[in-house]
Amino acid sequence: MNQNNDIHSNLQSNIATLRYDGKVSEAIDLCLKATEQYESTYFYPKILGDLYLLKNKYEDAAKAYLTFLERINPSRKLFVDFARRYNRLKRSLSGTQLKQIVSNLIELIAVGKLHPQLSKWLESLVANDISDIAFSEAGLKLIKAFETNEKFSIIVNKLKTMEQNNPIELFLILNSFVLDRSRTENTFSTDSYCVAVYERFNKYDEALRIGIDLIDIRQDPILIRTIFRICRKIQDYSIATKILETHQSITKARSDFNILYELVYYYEFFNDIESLTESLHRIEQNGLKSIPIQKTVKNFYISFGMLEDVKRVDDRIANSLSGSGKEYKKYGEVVKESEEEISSKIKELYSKVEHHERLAAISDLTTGISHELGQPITNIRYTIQFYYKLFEKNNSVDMKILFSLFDSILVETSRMGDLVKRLAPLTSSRNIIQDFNIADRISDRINALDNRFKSSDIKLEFKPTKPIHLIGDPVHFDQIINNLILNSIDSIDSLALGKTKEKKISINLEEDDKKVKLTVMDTGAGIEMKLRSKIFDPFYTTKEPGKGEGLGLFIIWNLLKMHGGKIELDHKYKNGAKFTVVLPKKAKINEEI
Amino acid sequence: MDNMVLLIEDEPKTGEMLKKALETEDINVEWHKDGASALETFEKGKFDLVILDLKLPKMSGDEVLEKIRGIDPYVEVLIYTNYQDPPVMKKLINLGIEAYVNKGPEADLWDTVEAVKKKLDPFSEDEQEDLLNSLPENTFSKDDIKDA
Repeated sequence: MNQNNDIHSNLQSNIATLRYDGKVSEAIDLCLKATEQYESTYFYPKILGDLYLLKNKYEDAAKAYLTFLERINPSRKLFVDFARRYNRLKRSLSGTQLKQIVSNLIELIAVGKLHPQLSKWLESLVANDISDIAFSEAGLKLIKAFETNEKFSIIVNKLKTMEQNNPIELFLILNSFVLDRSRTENTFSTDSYCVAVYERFNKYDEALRIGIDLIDIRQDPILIRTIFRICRKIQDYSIATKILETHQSITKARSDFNILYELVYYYEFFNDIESLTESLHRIEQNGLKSIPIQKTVKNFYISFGMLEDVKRVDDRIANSLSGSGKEYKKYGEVVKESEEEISSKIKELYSKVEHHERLAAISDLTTGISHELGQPITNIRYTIQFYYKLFEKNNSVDMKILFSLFDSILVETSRMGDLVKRLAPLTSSRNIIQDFNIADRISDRINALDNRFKSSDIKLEFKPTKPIHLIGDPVHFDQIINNLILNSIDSIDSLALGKTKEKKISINLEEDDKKVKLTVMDTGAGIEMKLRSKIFDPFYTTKEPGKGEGLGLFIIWNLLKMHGGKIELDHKYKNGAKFTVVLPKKAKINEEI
Repeated sequence: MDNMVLLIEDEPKTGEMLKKALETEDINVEWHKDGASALETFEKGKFDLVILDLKLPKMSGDEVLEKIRGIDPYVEVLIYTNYQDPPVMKKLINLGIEAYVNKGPEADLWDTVEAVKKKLDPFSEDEQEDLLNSLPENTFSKDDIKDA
């Protein structure tokens, strides 16, 4: 065996040397011989193909790769080697050349020379390159079944067999005989089934094309769910919207879980909170007796941050799990005990979650900082490394380039400096606790930002009626109000120009004995439902690179935590974003964040 | 033979330098600053290699990779980023990546170019291992026979 190893590594290094010395033809000769001599070794034909490719001898390369394919084990890695070469080769081939190679490959599958696994991979690799291939007997039978519209169960059996044995041919047949045929109530079941077949193979365009025809015949709930699910997968609901417009009865479906489930995603996509909530409530109400449905709906509520709803459903699930009261009367106390246990467990869990979230926030912050600093470092290093080599190669230094290099380094370092400054409020330990009138502080901030309001054409509404006093750190308070207003301005600016929507930011103050409630409400873009759980994470931003680093709300959240206050996003407000900040009148300064 | 590389990088300076450096090595580069626009041009078999940043605006790198793998399971993908998030790495490995290059304090432009060249060269060191794998029965045992 060792001897064998030696022979091969010598041969390989000889071929490599020839190739790197530019003697490609000689390398080809040697490799060709080795391919013939060692029939069980796949390495040589692969290298042979690569060498032919260097010489632009595409047909010879293709032949060599074919030999390579015949010799390999069904290993994914080796097949990927083949597939890459096939794709690379394809770009250089003429139509007839490609056809020849594809039919050689198909033949390889047909004669059963390849391992079944390899055949399967190969089929999907060349699927799009196949045309004008003769159908098999099974294929011809299926075509006949379609044409005579045989019984649904018979067709399904035939479809299932072909789906397993020969999907390539199956789709050739479906494309020519089902995709564009005229549909009636008689073909409905078969065609619906074909929608699912197309979907299983990720052929979504075809699935939707049939689906949209079928909907006009009958608004079958399962079919509707399938179509909406496909739209969700491709993140394009235009077909679903069209269907809803034509068949308005669908949205009025009061009880069908299939439809309602997908409608939730649909409304989430369009950020239609009202309809989304309504659909969720309908699912909840219709499935009161079903624990799986209640759990599904609970998961939806959790993902949308609708915590009150979560609690209600949770209680219901707990009740139905603990059985009906009458029959288990004597176990009543046991139940109660275990419920108490559960509730203390939940409390414990929540505090764990909070702790975990804090750790996660710290880790997010450090990851964020190292990433945020890493970018300018990379820029500086790449720029210097590039021009270093260039100057070295040219043996001279272009002063103009050199100065632009200096400039770019200065830009990058000031970017690093900005980040450090931005985080300063969180790290500074100098807290000044004093009594101040927050109405005044807000007015001062508004005046300072006056130019931004004017340039963005934003109307600002703030009408304090009386002074409201707070004991805390006024500089921190300024940071909070400033970050909130700046976010609102950016959000309004981000809406396309020319929209007739009113551009307005409203600030409101309320107080009771112990607390002050501050709301900042804008008519900007608002926050998409699915992003709502992330907005307080450090370095989370939807703004373009360079327009914001995603620290504003994170800083606010931390400052409020120091002061014993809190911030919440109003989930019901739809006309933009509305944040509510609650602050104790006497700050409980907590340095640890 | 022309090589085609797709570069997905949102940092203007980093992208500019990497594109320039690859071009000095006669590698064709198509550069996109976000996943969505890169995916618009992406086709099965169009590129030999994708250089993918993980932190991208809107669609993140792992999401982009998922879409890319849906279109072309065979294209080589080189991840280069300066943040390492284990769960994301796990997902990336499952989706299939061929190389990983660090940015940030360890960033080296010409090392990155070398890594790309090595992946593009059909006759590279990787093949040595293949040679050993392709020897007759019993001479090897570590071939990874895995289903997709």
